[in-house]
Amino acid sequence: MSDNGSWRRSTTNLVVSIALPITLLLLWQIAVSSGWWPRTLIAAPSDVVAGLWNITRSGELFAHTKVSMIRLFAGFTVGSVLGIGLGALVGTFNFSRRLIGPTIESLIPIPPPAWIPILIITLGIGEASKVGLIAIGAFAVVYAATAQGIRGADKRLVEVGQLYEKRRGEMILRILLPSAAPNIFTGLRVALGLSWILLVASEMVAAKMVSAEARLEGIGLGWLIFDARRFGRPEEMIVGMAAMGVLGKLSDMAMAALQSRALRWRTSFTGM
Amino acid sequence: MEKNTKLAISAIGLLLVIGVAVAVYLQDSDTPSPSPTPITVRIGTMGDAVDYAPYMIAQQKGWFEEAFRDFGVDKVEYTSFQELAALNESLGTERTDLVFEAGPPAIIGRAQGNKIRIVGISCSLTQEIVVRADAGIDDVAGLRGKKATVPAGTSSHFNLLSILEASGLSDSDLEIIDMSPPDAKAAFEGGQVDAWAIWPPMVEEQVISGAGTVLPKTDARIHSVMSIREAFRAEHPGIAKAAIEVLQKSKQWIIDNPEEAKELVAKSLKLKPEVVELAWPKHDWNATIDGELIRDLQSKADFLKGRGLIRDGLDVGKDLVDPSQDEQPSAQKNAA
Repeated sequence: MSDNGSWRRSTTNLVVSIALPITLLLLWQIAVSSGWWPRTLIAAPSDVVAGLWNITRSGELFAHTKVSMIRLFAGFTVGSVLGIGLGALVGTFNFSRRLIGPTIESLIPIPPPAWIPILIITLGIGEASKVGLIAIGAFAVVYAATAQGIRGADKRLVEVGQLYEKRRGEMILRILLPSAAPNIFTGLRVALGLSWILLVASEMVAAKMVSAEARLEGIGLGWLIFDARRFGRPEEMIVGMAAMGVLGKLSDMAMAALQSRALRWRTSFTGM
Repeated sequence: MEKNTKLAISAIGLLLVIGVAVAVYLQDSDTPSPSPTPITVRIGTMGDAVDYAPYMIAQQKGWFEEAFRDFGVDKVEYTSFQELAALNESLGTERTDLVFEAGPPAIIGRAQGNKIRIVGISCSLTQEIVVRADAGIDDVAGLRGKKATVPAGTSSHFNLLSILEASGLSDSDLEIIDMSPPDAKAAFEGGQVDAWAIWPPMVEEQVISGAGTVLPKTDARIHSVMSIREAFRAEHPGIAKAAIEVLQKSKQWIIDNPEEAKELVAKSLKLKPEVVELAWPKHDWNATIDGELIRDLQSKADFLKGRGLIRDGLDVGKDLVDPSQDEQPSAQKNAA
C-alpha cells in the first residue's frame, strides 16, 4: 500500500513539474506555426531541435560552450575572491571601511556594461576585457554580501573570541567568515547568475571575424546568440539561449550543493 | 490536503496563470497590423552616417510630413537603430515602414525573410580604411599581420575583404575583428587595433584628430539606400511614391545648397564642421538605381551567402531592387 502511494506521489510530482514547461512549448509551437510570431525572427521548437542537432554534430556547440565556460569561471573566480577579500577587510576593520568603503561603494552602482569602453582601452579587446567585465559584476555582489555578512555576525561570538585572546587573523577565519557564510553564499549564487548575463554582454563586444569553418574553435555562446540574431538564424539564437539556461541552472545547482555542504550546521526552513 | 484535491487545485491554478498571461499579451502588445487610420509612418535608420544627409535634411525641414499629409498621414516617427538585428526585427513585425540603410543591411534583411524593396538611393561613396598614424602602414599590403576591425555584415566588411583580395591578401593574413562603431572607436583610439574599415564621419574624426591616416583610395563603394516594406507599399502606394519624391527633392536641394546642407548635417550628427567638410566630397549625391548598383549589390549578396552569413541566396535584381523605380540618370554623374 505504501509503495503504491509513493509511486503515485512521485508521478504526480513529475507531472506537476513538467506541466508548465510542456504547455509553454505547445503555445510557442502554435504561435510560430500559425504565423502569429514571425518564423524568420523566432524559430519554432521544431526548428530549434533541428538547429541543435546540426551544431552539436559539427562540434560547434561544444566549442562555444567550452570557451564561454572558461571565461565565466575565470571572471567569476577573480571577482568573488576579490569580493570576499575586500569585503572581509571592510567588514572587519573600521579603518579599512573608512578608507576604501566609500570609493568602492560609489563605483559599485555603475552598471558593468558601462565599463566596456574603459575595459577596451585598458585591457584590450581580447580575453582580458571579457573576463574583466564579468569580474567587475561578480565583485560588486560578493563584496557587498561579505561586508554585510560580517557586520551581521553575532557580537557575543566575537566577544568570546576576544576572551580567548584570539589573534585577528584567526578571528576573521574562524569566527567572522563562518558567521558571514550564509550571506556570502547567497552573494555567490547571485553573482554567478549575474556573471552569465555579463558573459553574453562581453562576448558581443569584439569577436574575431571567422569563417564558418573556424567557428569550430569556439567563439562563445553569447556570441552565438548575438551573431545568429544579426544574420537571421533564429534557431541557433534559441539554442544558444537554451544552452545558457541549462548551464546556468547546472552551475547554480552546483553552487547550491556547495552551499548546503558548507552550511551543514544551519537549521533552517526547507519548505512545506 | 487530499491528493486529488491538490492535483485539481494545481491544474486550475496553472490554467489560470496561462489564461491571464495570454490575456495580458493580447491586451498589451501593439498588435503588428496595417497602420491604423489616421496613419503613422515609421521611418528608421541603421546607425548614423553622413550619407543619410537627404533623410536628415528632409526630417529637419518637415518634408516627409508635408508630402504625406495628402494621404491621411498625421504623424511621422523617426527611429535610429544602433543594431541591425533590432531594425530587422522591427521590419519583420511591421513596426517600421521605411528604412535608410546601406546595401548589405538591406540584403541581410531580405534574406531573413523581410519583404523589403530598395526604392531609392541617397548617395554612394568610396570606402575608406583608416589606419593608426603611428602604425607605419602606407598601403593595403602593409596590413599583413596587423589587427583590423570592421562591423560584420556591412558594406565595409565586404569592401575590406575585396580590397585585401585585390592586393593579394586573404583574411587569414591579418586579424580581423568584428566590432560595432562605438566599440571600434574606443579600440582604435586606444591603440588596440591598427586599422578600421568604416564610413564617414568616423573616418574623418580620426584623420582630423591626428590619430589616423587614410589608405590610398580604391573602387570599393558604399551605397546608401532607402528601402520600403512591400506590404506597406501595396497598402499605401501614394505614400510610397511621395517618399521617393521627397528623397529626390532632398538630394537635389543638397546639390544646390551644399554649404547649408553641410551645416544641417553637422548639427544633426553633432559633429565639428571640419569633419563634415572633409567627408562631403566623398559622397555622390547624384547616384541613381542602375545596373551598376544591382551588380554591386549582387556581388555583396553572393559574398554574404558564400561566407554562410546569410542562409539563402538572393537575386538582387528580382527580389530586392525595384526595377520600376529606375530614375533617369542625371546629366552630371560625377565620380566622387
